[in-house]
Formats: sequence, structure tokens, C-alpha cells
Amino acid sequence: MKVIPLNQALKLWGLAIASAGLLYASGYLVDYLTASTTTSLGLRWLGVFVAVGGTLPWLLFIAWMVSAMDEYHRHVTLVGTAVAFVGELLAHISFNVMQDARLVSWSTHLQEIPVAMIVWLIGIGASAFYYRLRL
Amino acid sequence: MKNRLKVLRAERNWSQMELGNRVGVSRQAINAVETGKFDPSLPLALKLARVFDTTVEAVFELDSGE
Repeated sequence: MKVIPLNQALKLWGLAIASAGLLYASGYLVDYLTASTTTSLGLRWLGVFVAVGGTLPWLLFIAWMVSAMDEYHRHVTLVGTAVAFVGELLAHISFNVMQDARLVSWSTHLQEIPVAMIVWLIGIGASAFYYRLRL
Repeated sequence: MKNRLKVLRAERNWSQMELGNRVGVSRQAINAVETGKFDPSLPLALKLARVFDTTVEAVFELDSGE
């Protein structure tokens, strides 16, 4: 990664912590807004918007990180993201089929955000590994 | 794509880090370009040529099969 000025690094660090905190807190708020069977339609829709809105700062942080990279690391990250997209698709398809095949209970839910982050990191790791080994 | 980065760098006694700093990319990026693992963008190729005070064609060359 190229060297970035300290004030930009501090902003990135601050945004990372704030966005992770917001992501974490929004999960609890969404549960509170949507879990009850007596919650009104409006509050349930609010839960949906909070769930989506809570992820936006995190996605903004990732976009900012990518924009701060040099072209080599950006290339590796974007290839890794494409690999992760395929991995995520395969993970969801296999999980759904496992539920259909009664290998996994219907009451089990895939934790979307942790799974997405883990698959994304694996994708970037695979991409970095590929470009390191490539002859 | 072949390149003469290592030779040009050695002539000036520059490390990969120093060259990276001069063109605004990381040491890893210079290493990836130098070893042919990553083809630089046109702006980066032009910057590399400029810091060596030469042309892009003098730094980079297509492989025979390309």
C-alpha cells in the first residue's frame, strides 16, 4: 500500500471504528424493530432501512480504502472482490440446498455480514496469493 | 510484457522503495511490475519512464507472443 498522509490515515481509522460500531449497533436495533410479532408495519420497514443504512458507512470505508491504494493493490483487491462474489454465491446456494436436503435446520440462519466479510477476506487473500506466485 | 526496470534502477542505485516513492506507488507494486506479475497502467508507465529520463518503449517491451 502506498504511504498516505497521517491526517488521511487518522480519518480512515476513525471511519473504520465508527462504521464497525454502527454496523454492530444497527444489528441490535434491527432485531429490536423487527423481532416482535406485534410491531407495526412502519417500524418493520424502518428496521429494513436501518439494516441497509447501517452497512453503508462500512461500504464507504471499504471504497475509501480502495481509493487510497496504489494501482497494484487496487487491482489485487478488486480481483479478490470478484472471487469473493463467486464464493458468496456458492456459499448461499450450498446453504440453501443443505436446508432443502434437511442437512441444516430451517431455523438456522446464515449470518450475512460475518460470512460476507470472511468470504471477502478469503477472496482478497486468494488474489494476493495468486499475484505473488504468478510467473 | 518485458521491462528493464531492474537494470535502470541498478544503474541509479535505487531501491524498489525509492523508485516507488518517486512515482507514488508501493514497493510491492514496483516489485510486481519488475517481475512481470503486473502490467502497469499507462500513467504509471509514463511516470516510470519520466523518472528514468527515457521513453516508455525504452523501459517496456512486448513479449514476442503478445
